[in-house]
Amino acid sequence: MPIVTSNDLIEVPILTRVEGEGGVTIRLRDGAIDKVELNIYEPPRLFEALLRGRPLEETPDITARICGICPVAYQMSSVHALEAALGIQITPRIRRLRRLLYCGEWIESHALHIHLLHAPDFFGAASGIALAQRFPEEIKRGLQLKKFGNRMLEVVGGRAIHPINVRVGGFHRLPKTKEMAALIPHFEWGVQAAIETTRWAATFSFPDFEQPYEYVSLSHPDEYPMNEGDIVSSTGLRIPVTQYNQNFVEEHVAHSTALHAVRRTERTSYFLGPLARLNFNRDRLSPSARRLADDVGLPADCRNPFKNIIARCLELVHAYEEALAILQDYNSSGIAHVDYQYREGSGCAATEAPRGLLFHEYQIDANGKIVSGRIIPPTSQNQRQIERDLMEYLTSRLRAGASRDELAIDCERLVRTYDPCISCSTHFLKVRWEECT
Amino acid sequence: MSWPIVIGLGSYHGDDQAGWLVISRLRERSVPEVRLACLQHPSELLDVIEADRDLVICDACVGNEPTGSIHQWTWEPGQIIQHRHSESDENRIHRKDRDLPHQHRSGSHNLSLFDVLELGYSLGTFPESVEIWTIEGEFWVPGTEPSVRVQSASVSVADSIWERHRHA
Repeated sequence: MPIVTSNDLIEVPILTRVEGEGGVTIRLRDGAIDKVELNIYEPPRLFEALLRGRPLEETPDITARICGICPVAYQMSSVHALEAALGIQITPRIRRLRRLLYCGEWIESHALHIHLLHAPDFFGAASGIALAQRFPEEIKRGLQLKKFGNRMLEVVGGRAIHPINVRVGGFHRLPKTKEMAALIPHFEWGVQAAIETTRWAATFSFPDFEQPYEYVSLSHPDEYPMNEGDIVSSTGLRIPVTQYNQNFVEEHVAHSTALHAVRRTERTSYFLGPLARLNFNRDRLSPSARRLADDVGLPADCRNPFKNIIARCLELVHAYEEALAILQDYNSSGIAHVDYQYREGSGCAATEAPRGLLFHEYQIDANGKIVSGRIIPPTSQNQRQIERDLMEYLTSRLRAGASRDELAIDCERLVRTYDPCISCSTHFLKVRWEECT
Repeated sequence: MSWPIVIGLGSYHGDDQAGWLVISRLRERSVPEVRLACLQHPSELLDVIEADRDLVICDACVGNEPTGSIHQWTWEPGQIIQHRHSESDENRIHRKDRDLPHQHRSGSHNLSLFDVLELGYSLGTFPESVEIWTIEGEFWVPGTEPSVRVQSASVSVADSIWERHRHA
């Protein structure tokens, strides 16, 4: 097994992801980790530029194309931001239906990551396929859980990938009551199945690693955050989303084509995602999820990033349970969307994508055209934190005598805890080693 | 024995509609609708394959042969077997981990066809052998019609599938 030399360079050259490609470089100097870089080298996709001059109505469908696994998040952040610019107040029924759609996305995204992308790490399995041979019933259950999330997206969003039913002001059409009622038995099963998944994940063996993170998420007084809320942080920050730019900023770094978001004043990293959401909003989880969080012994202020998988499982329970409640109460009466008039203005919004807070900001002209747009995805905001975590965790592993191969594997595992889009494919990493001269 | 489930993989991008065209042709031949499906991503197979039923998958591919060329394969766990299409002796070429349409081992949230077949087999939800037909495409522009050669090849593939399974 190759040992680490005092001036070593460990390169993980390809961390391919859904919407991009990246790698990790670890430099050692005098036996200690000197630098860790998350290298995102995919060319910028320029979505904001693509939107300029286009009718604002195209924005939800164009931005949804940024990601195949969380298109709803892009649709939700974009319509909320545009509705803020246009002064639109949606109806409570539309708002509830949007939460239902978001539940569908959380379900399909979380179920995929838990079972096929993250769980294999806890058993030394190379992939979800390898894990399926060892835990076929658990993986089957996970695929069923994902399937009903996809089904929800089809019914409410029009199709499972890149839904097409979302529009500024509401929806193009309301789902039929019969279609929604047909989902109820699946979601009753899903609540129990997600609970079983959580109990399974809670038995995993977690590395002993905790950090003093600054967690950031939305927080809403009445509900677990999805579409609305203030931005809160574990340093005590609580701001409306309109003050995002006063508190957070994106920076260019030489080794990444993706911008790094940091706190504006301190230039420090912060942590988004299920664990952050759960730490701030645990008391607003659905009843079953809340009880389960206590049952599985998740600490109130969990600082272990590897336990993100438990938070993700609890959100899976929550999403199923909330979706079930909405389905049971649903009827297709009422308007599908709110009408509006064009006006010059600007607006912003943040919603909680499966991977964390997704910020959108738009300026529109009096003819309903996009003047400018800005999109700050959760993966961009987590990048700096991932690098800091890699530095700390690999340092501790190096001190414990980990080999180069083990460090490369540790590197992948830690990145995957965040479920950034990068993590989608890290099971297929090729690791290249070079000696420093 | 009854009709297999026949899946067409594709998108609205020109020749990538090859698999969907095969399904369209089979519909014209009155193959039961419940046995046919048009999908976009291989991972969607996991949602539609639920029983031990024969499975046929049709897709576009990119290779070194002329547009409209037809390939027929059989997937078995851990390997893909290419059959010489249109030859009676069906010489078999065993190739492990041979490139399949949609195979993209660099990975993503979307599993490749190969991965999905392996996963389905591991879980016992897919048959042990899957018949795969691919058609060489050339034009992939979003929103465009498939080329004439691909349209013609799709009819040939559908008719071959029909002949093979019509007595099922």
